Amino acid sequence: MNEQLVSLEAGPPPAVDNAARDLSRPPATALRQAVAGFARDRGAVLALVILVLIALVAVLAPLIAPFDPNVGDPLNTLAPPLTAGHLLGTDDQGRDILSRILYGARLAIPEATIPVIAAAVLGTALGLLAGFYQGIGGGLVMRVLDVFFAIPLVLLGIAVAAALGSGPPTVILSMAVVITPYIARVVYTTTAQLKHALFVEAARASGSGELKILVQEILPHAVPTVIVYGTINMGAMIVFAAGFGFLGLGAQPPASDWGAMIAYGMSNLGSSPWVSTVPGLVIVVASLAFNYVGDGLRIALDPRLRSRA
Amino acid sequence: MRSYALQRLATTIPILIGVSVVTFVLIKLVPGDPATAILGPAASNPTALAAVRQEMGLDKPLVVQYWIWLSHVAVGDLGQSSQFRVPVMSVLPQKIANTAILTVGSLAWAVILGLVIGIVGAVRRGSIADRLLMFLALTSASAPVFWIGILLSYVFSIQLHLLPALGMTSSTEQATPLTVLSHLILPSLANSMISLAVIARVVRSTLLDALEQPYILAARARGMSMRRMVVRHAFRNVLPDAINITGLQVGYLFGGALFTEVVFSWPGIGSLIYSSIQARDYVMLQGAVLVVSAVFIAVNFVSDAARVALDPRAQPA
Repeated sequence: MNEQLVSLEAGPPPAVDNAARDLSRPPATALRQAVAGFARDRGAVLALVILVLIALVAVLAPLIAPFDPNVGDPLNTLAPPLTAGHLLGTDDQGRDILSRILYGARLAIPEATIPVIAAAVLGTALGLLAGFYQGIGGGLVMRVLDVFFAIPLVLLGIAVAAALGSGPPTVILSMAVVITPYIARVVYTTTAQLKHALFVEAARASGSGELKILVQEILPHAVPTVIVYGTINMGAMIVFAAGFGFLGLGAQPPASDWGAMIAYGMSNLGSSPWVSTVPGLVIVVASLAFNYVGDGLRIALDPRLRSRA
Repeated sequence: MRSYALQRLATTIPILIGVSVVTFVLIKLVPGDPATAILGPAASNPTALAAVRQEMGLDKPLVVQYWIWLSHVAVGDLGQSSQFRVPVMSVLPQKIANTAILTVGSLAWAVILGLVIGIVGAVRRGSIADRLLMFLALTSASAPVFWIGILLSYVFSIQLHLLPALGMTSSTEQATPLTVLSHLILPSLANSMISLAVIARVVRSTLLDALEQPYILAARARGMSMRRMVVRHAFRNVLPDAINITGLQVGYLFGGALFTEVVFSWPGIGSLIYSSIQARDYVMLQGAVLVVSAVFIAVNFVSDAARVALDPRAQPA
């Protein structure tokens, strides 16, 4: 859809909206409008419920897991799903796959969220500064980031983790390193566009300092974009974190890491395909859920898109 | 066009230098002293340690070390692989060629299926077929590539015995282009999933845009069939975006082949990186990252140039 068409379809400007508003009701704040917009998107709400459930599972794993994830039952190895007591079956050591998946959420959720949050903070700061003070300093920051775009993201992340040594902290650090440039670029673009906007000029004319302009005038415009971009990226990071686990760079055995479980099950793929494939299903559901929530947020936080919905 | 290419080429050089710095720093991230690692127990002897450090140039300042390393890289000397005990450059070219085969196969899947899904989605917008295909594309793009690969090899290789799932050639028969092709089908399909979804999305949305243009209305008013309209008129406007996004995919496919190659034991750069991680062969890892990034940069350059050639409006200021 053409950008101009969108703004035409967005209807009358807000001032007219205000005049027509029922004055007996409290004014809808931007936040309330966004929440209402999000709530209208049933797919996004369902996805959010799924994410909350996964987060709860991560917290409550020791309470709700039927078995110890690392202790196998030698008499009940490679039991298929729906075996009595083992809803999702067991692996070749007789470990309960459901319990391992539940415990796996304790690794997957932090590994997906912490790098994105860290990169969002750092990337926003870099992008704001580089976009506002374009000159030599800002230009230098963006040229350095260009170098990171030139290296395939997955490869760079894997290489950094391989150099630093395996384990969840390394996974989180490497992922934060590789996504920071992407967030910085998004914020940089917004900042550079807004730098000469009328409301920024107005703030400057009324005597606001540069820091105040950056934080109060420009930052609020960048935040929704970063939230949406970050949420969608968390979906990608769940998959990426599984990739680290798959290559043996994540949590070390016997820890239940979803990606490592897929790799571990490969040796019995012919006879017991569930060992390898079931954890993958969980990854797909979690990753899709982040995508749908991000998409719902995108529509809810962008007034132009919201009015079309 | 030529001036654009030259300009673009000029911006590529600092990026290449930057990439070389990053790959150089990468190996410095490895904890521990490489000299100690080489000497093993003998590292307790300080004179031996100092000798090795001097021989490896580790006693020099970092900038000097980088310069020495870069001057070797410039003439194609990427160092010695510790796992194969041969120069990195004697291993890399063959692996790159194998990954290139996988990339071309993946690109074929991504372009063919991506175009079909994108066109069906745009022409039959909102239909069940549109929604189902887009959902499938999004789902498979949200799944780990290695998991898709495992599913494909379970279904088509283990259960149906239709296609081989391991390696690039069969050990029992003579390697012919046909055996390579049969080994290529599953890994390239698994590897294509994300690119396939990206291409389908771009084709669908640009084609929808194009179908809303006045000239399409005019063509429709003249009684032109949908097929002819899409093929003759709208599609020409989809091409620049489609080619540009496809060009970008080449780099991602090349870099993303890592997981696919591990699942299917495809003897390319991904498998090489995996074995280098296992063997802690950091020199090989460094060389692989450097070379893959150079390929990535080159392909992006070509795809940008192709877009400018196809769409004069994209001529940058």
